[in-house]
Amino acid sequence: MIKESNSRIAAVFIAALLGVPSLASAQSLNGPLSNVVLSGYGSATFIAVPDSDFRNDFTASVSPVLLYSMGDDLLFETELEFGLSGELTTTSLEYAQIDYLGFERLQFVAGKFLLPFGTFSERLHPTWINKLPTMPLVYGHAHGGVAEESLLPILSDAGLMARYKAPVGEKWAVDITGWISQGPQLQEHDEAAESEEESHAHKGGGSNSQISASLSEAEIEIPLVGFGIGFSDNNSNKMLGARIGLVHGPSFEIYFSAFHAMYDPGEYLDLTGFNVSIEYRKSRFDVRAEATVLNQELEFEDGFDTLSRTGYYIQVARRYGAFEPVVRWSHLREGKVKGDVIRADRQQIAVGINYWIEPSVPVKLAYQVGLDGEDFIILQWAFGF
Amino acid sequence: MKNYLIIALVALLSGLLVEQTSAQDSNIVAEGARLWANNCTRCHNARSPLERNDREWLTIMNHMRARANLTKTESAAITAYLQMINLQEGNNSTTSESVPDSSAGLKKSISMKNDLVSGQQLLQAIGPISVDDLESLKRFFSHVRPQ
Repeated sequence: MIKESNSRIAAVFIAALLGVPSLASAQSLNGPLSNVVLSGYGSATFIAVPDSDFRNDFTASVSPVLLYSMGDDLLFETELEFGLSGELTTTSLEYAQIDYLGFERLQFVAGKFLLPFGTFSERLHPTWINKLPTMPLVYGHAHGGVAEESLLPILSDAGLMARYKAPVGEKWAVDITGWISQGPQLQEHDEAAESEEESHAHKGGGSNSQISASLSEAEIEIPLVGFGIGFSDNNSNKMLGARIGLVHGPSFEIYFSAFHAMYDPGEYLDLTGFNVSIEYRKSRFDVRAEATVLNQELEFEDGFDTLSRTGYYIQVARRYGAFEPVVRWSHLREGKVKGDVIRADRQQIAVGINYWIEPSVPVKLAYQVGLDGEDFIILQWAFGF
Repeated sequence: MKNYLIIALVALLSGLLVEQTSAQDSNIVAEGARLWANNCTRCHNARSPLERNDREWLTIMNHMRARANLTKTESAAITAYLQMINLQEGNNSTTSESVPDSSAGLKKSISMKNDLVSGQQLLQAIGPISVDDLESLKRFFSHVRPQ
């Protein structure tokens, strides 16, 4: 049902994209108050595993963004993602939201939007912004809104959001965002997705085999949780979340985020998340770090327990003209339930060098060391338009 | 000669109106430049103002306002800056009638920008104007109130 609805969404979006240029040229969308802009980003990537077989693949992705403004106060924006994964072409509705911008400091958003939990999901994941061709372990590889190997997918969900900004003195500002949304839902293990994971194992996403072994050894099944995976809620509970930050542009930002939701149909099981995100920029240095704690309540025959996992990353980059070396260290700490290790400890170090052809067009070369798994060589050409 | 004086009159009217409102507009643009430098590199490299025309920057800045949580005034100032840079590099496809009014100063700035371009083109077309002609026109315009 999800793939079928994704196909319908993709078909409608493609039809709209094909129609936009002719409509725009006929000025039926661009009037005195309205304006349409086609934006987005894409990438072409080569991934290789430097083992004896030297397995390697080419892949590509594109994420068109359509912006429609009506005056200064109303904006409709949507992003669709198309990618290649194994033998499949994946599609995803990243966001489709209506923004009301009529107030001086307050904004309202309705629809499906990137959740303001931390900063990577909402602001830093596009291929032309992300300074490495891979994502931090916290976010890692996700399939259809389910983080099967990482801690969280790129978070996107349907609901309502409000933002507020207040100055503090001359150079500081408080940034407050709150949202209510559909919330996470139990995701059934998808055999097709699992086979895709197997073929995807050498594409920088790691392998699922370690998790399967842990499950069989511990005989504990951890239900997968998906975000924004459908528009029919599995319970009456909604996710509540907020982020508060202190901004000293352009040099320093710190944010604290949290969310809570019940993810099972019976509304017994909690899922809570906490995040601290810090960004520091000075001269040509750019330092970013996030720490995330995710607590998933589980039900057993003899009671309840909580799978608590912590993940964090720190990334340092520096510009030397058009070149930019980058280093990122990611760590996902092990998760235990009933004293048994259910999720293994994982670490990654990615070292890369970027060449910026244009401010939004980088060529990225990276070597990623999986301290508990495979290494990867990745060459990516990203394009923000 | 009479036609040339009328043309010059229009051009100088535009120039004087720019001069009378330029202090406010230049403040907006200067503030926009400062905000652009402080905000538009927080997440990504600053994009060249030449990538988009004026109308597109209005829409894109709405998108960036939502993403970066900018205030309405901040967004308008950055937009004014981007559109003014476009003018200096000759990239302008906006008319004052087609631009939504984000603030009185912004709309007037854009309108005056268009008139300034037109006036400059007219002056180049008609050639040099004598000093006596200029002094006469200035005395005339000193009695004209700005629109």
